[in-house]
Parts: sequence; C-alpha cells; structure tokens
Amino acid sequence: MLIINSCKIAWRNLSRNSRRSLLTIVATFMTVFLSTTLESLHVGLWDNIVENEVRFLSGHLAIQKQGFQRHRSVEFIIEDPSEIYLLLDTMSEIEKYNSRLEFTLLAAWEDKSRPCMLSGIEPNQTFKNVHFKNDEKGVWIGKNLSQYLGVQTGDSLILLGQSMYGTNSSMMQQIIEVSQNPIPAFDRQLIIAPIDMARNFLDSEKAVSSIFLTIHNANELETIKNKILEVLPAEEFEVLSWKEMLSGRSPVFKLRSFGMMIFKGILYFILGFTLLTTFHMIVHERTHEFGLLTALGMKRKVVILIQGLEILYSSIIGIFLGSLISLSFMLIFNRYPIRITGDLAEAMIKFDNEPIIRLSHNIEILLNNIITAVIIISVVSIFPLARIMRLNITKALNN
Amino acid sequence: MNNLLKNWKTISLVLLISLLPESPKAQHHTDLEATEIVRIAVDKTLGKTVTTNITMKVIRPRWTNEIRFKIWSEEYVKALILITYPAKEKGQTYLRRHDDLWYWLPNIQKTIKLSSSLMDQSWMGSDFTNEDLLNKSSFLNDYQHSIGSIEDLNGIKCYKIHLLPKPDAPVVWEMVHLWISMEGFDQLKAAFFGENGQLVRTMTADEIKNFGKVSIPSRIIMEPAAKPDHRTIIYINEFQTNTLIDDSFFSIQNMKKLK
Repeated sequence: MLIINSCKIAWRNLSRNSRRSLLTIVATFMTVFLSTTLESLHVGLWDNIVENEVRFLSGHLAIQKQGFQRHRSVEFIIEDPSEIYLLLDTMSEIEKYNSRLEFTLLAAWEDKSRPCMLSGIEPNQTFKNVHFKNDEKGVWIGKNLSQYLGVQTGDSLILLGQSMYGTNSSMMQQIIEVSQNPIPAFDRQLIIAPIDMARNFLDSEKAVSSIFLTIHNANELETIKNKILEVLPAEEFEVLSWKEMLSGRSPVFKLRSFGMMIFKGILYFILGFTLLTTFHMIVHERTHEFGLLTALGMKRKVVILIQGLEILYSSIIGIFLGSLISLSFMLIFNRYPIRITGDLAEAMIKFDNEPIIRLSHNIEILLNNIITAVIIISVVSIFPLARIMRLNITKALNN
Repeated sequence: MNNLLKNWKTISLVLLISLLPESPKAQHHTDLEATEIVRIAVDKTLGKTVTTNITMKVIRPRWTNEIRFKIWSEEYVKALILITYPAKEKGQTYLRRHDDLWYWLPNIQKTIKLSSSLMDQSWMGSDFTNEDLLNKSSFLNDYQHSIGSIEDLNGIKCYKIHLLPKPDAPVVWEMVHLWISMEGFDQLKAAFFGENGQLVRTMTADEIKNFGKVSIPSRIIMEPAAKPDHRTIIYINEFQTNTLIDDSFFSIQNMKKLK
C-alpha cells in the first residue's frame, strides 16, 4: 500500500514542477544520446576505413606460407597456388579472391640504392590507388623513393635481387607513375608492379606470396578461416584475418581501442558531473519541502523512496527517449551517410578512404551505453538521497 | 768429483746438441711434404692458365636448378666466369683480379664491385661460395699444412692433410681436412670446419676423367652438414690447361664483351 502510494506521489511530483523534471530528463537523455551517437560515429568512421582497406586493398582473409608475414622473403613464397585456387573455387562463401607477389629487393639508380619491397599485383586490381591493365608494363614508386634515388616518371629503375633459385636477378623497369603515399613506410620503399613482372624477376611462372579472399558475410570470418585451415596443411600455410594483417602494419589500429576508451572515459565523467549537479540542485531546491514533510511525521525512508522513484521515472523517460533518438540517428545515418567535400574529403581520399561519414548501426553500442548510463545514474543518485538521510529538520525548515 | 761434474756437463751438452736438431728437422720435413702434396694437387687443377666448362646442378628439396658456365683462370690470382645457361642469367660475368671482385649484369648494363667480405657468400644460390669458384689456390696459400694420416677412401689410398689457416689469411674456416689421393694427387674429399670445430660442409670428388693432358675428378659434390637434403653437383665438361690467354682478357672491358 505504502509503495503504491509512494509511486503515485512520485509520479505526481514529476508533473508538479515540470521545469525541474524536464531538466532531469534532459540530463539522462543527454547521457545516453551523446555517448551512443559519438561512439557509433567513431566506430562507423573506423569501420569505413577497415571496409575500404578490406574491400579495395586486400580482403578479409589472406592465405600465406608460414613465416611469410614475418620474413617477407622469397623463401616463403607459394610456388604453385593452383590447388589452393581449386579449393577456393568450391567455396560458395567466398565472393572473390586475388593474389599478390611480394618480396624484398634492391632498387638502384646511378650510384644510389635502397632496399625496397616489391608488390606484384594482378591486372585490373587496385592496390594503393595503383592499377595495371592487362599486359601493361612498368612500375609505380612513392615520391620519397623517387626523390632519394633522383628518378622520375619515364626513367628506368634498376632492380636487383634474387630469383627463387638463389641466382642473381636483375631488371630494368620503366617508372610509369610517381605519387605520394600517405603512409611513410610505403612512400619510402614500396614498388608496385604487375604480378607477371614480379614472377619474371623470381623466375617462377605461377608464384604468389599471398592470396586475399573477400567473403560475402564478414561475420563468418572465423568459420571460413577454420574451414580453409582444415584442408590446407597447417604446418605449411597460415590464414590471417584482416585484423591480424592490419595489426602488423598499422600501429594506429592498436591505438584505436585505447583512444576510444579515454574518449569515453572523459565523456562519462562530464555527463556524470552534469547529472550530479542536476540532482544536487533539485534536492537543494526542495530542502524546505523535505524538512516540512519529515516534521509532519513522514518517515525519512519514505521521503527517500519517493525521491528515488522520481529519479527513476525521469531516468527511464530520459533513457528511453535517448535510445529512441540515437537509434533512429544510427539507422538513418548508416543508411544515408553524410558526404563530405573540400579539404577533408581530399585528405580522406588520399588515405584510400571514401569521403563519407557513416554511423555504425551496431546495437551493442546502444546497449552498452544504456547500461553505462544506468550505472552512472545509480551511483550519482546516492548523493542526493544521502543528503535527505542526513537532513537537519530545524535547519531545513528555517531555510 | 769436480772432474766428474765437468764430464757430466760435457756429456749432457753433447747429448743435447745431438738430440736437439733431430726433432724439429723431422717436423719441418713432414710439413714441407704436406705443403708439397697440396701444391702438386692444386697445380694439377690450375696450371699456368685453365679453361673449364662446367654444368652445375643445385639440388633442393622442392626443385633442381641447372646453371652452365665457363671459367678462365690465370696463375692463382685472376679468374673470369661467364654464365651460358639458363637464358635469364646468360651473359652474366664475374671477374676476380687479386683481391678485387666484379660482377657484370648485361641486362641492366651494370658492373657491380663486390666487397671481399662477400667471397664466402653463396654463388648463384648454390652450396659453393664465390671463394670456391674464384680462388681455387686458397688451400695452398691461405693454410698451414700437416699430414694427419693415410686413409683409405673408397679403395683409394689418400693422404689426409690437416689445413689450419695462416694468421692473417682471409678465410672463414677454422680447419679443413683434405684428402689427396697418393697416386694421382687428386683432391677427393674436403671437410670444412667452422667455429668450435663443427663440421659445416663436405666436398667429395669422383668420376676421374681424362682431359687430354691430365686426369682429374669430373664430378664434385658439395653438401652442407646442417641441411641434409641440400646438395650442389658440379660436372666438369671441358678442362684445358696452359692455353694462351692474353692478360687483357681478365679486364672489366672484356667481361662486358664476353657472350
């Protein structure tokens, strides 16, 4: 009976001072809305980068010889991938695959040379914005490498290294394009060439170093990976997911989750304090009222219960509205991403990314943030309730 | 008493004098003999000038690669290698003059000077090093020789000679054992030891063939100790000694012209 009455009183209290209630609702709403939208924006931007990387540059999965990822030398090259191709052709989960042949060699011009990494790509495949048509010849190099060697488009770059058989291999290749790659390591020492040229250099007709697979459903990644590993001899080959491939190459990837954690920490801290001041203000405003109620004989427990229920109601409304609006934001901006223009767009294109801002529609982000908001509200609401507990009736009445 | 002491002194002195020269002389004698044996064996395969035509098979677990080449060498200090097969490497030349080594790549029209530290690097992916092919007199000039024993190698009596590098010799081996046949002075086997006296690789030679003036082993097999399924076999197809080779033949200009 007491509880039902308390519920009723708390509900009425909400409408008694709508300005005050609105303030609490807005504070909880902001906690959920801001943290959810900002996180889904962050995740969405990152997903966009990954998606581009995965779709246009390599693939979700890569098949390589054991040891290639670490050593990147000719020793760990797949000499004849025909059997692997046959296996991949039977797997309907795989959308498409392409191969690359990568190894280290020495690039030279006049009296300068530098150890470089040669990436042989299949015709009509794009890698780092470089693309070769069928039977096209020549190589692409980064700006830094061209400046160091003192070469330019049209010059013939000298390549020195070893063939598959350990014999000396050398070649002269015309530079057909010099452009800046935003990743310094690539700009310094990456050479992109048609895969046939790379094979010719190694003296091997079919060799590839990695086979990149694009799969229909990214969630099946682990299943497909295991399926391939069941067939291929594990002591000879390894299958890497895009995460494993990227983590080896880009420290930014490792920093991502750490950065997001700091960012979320700061955000929750600010939102927590906003809530605390709101609650504190409400109790302060009603000190006289609480004093009067206790003086008239209402038990402190009941006062606390009613006040707690008030916070609960406004929080539920705030969280509900916050979830509803952030969910619609997530869905709308995921479906219709914001196109950006100008300098920022150019910078994004340079980094091989589509110039769009797309929110992630991963429901986990919303759920996590609701849980976090509930925890923050529960912790923060202890302070106003504890104040009622310690309320000095005389002082309160004189207030 | 004094006389006796004097006598003793004389006797011991006489004894000492008579004994002292004996042992060093004997030691010296065998060393000289060992060096002589090596000299005869090395001279047999080098002469004043040598022209050889070689087929090399590099055998690896998953593939076998064949390379054919010609070597011209003069005395102990000049050598030139021309690769004639396969097509991709055809025309590449290596030149050694004393301590300098050059390498010519016709497809990029470049001469590359190799540092002498690369002498112990693998030659064209084989188990032979640049040193093995371009500095065949190393056994004679870079080591001190002593006869270890006389051993029977597949029915052929051989001197087993211990080779220890001379103090400043530019060699990587800590010790080499060389088996030279007593009859034909052919180098039939060599075992190369690295740090801590560990066996690094073994060379064996057989199929003795007559090349006009000389008979030498025509098949040489090099096997690294650490990789049991790796092997390189050299077949000597032609071998001519003391042909007339002009000194200008061993020049950078000429190494670019050879085809």
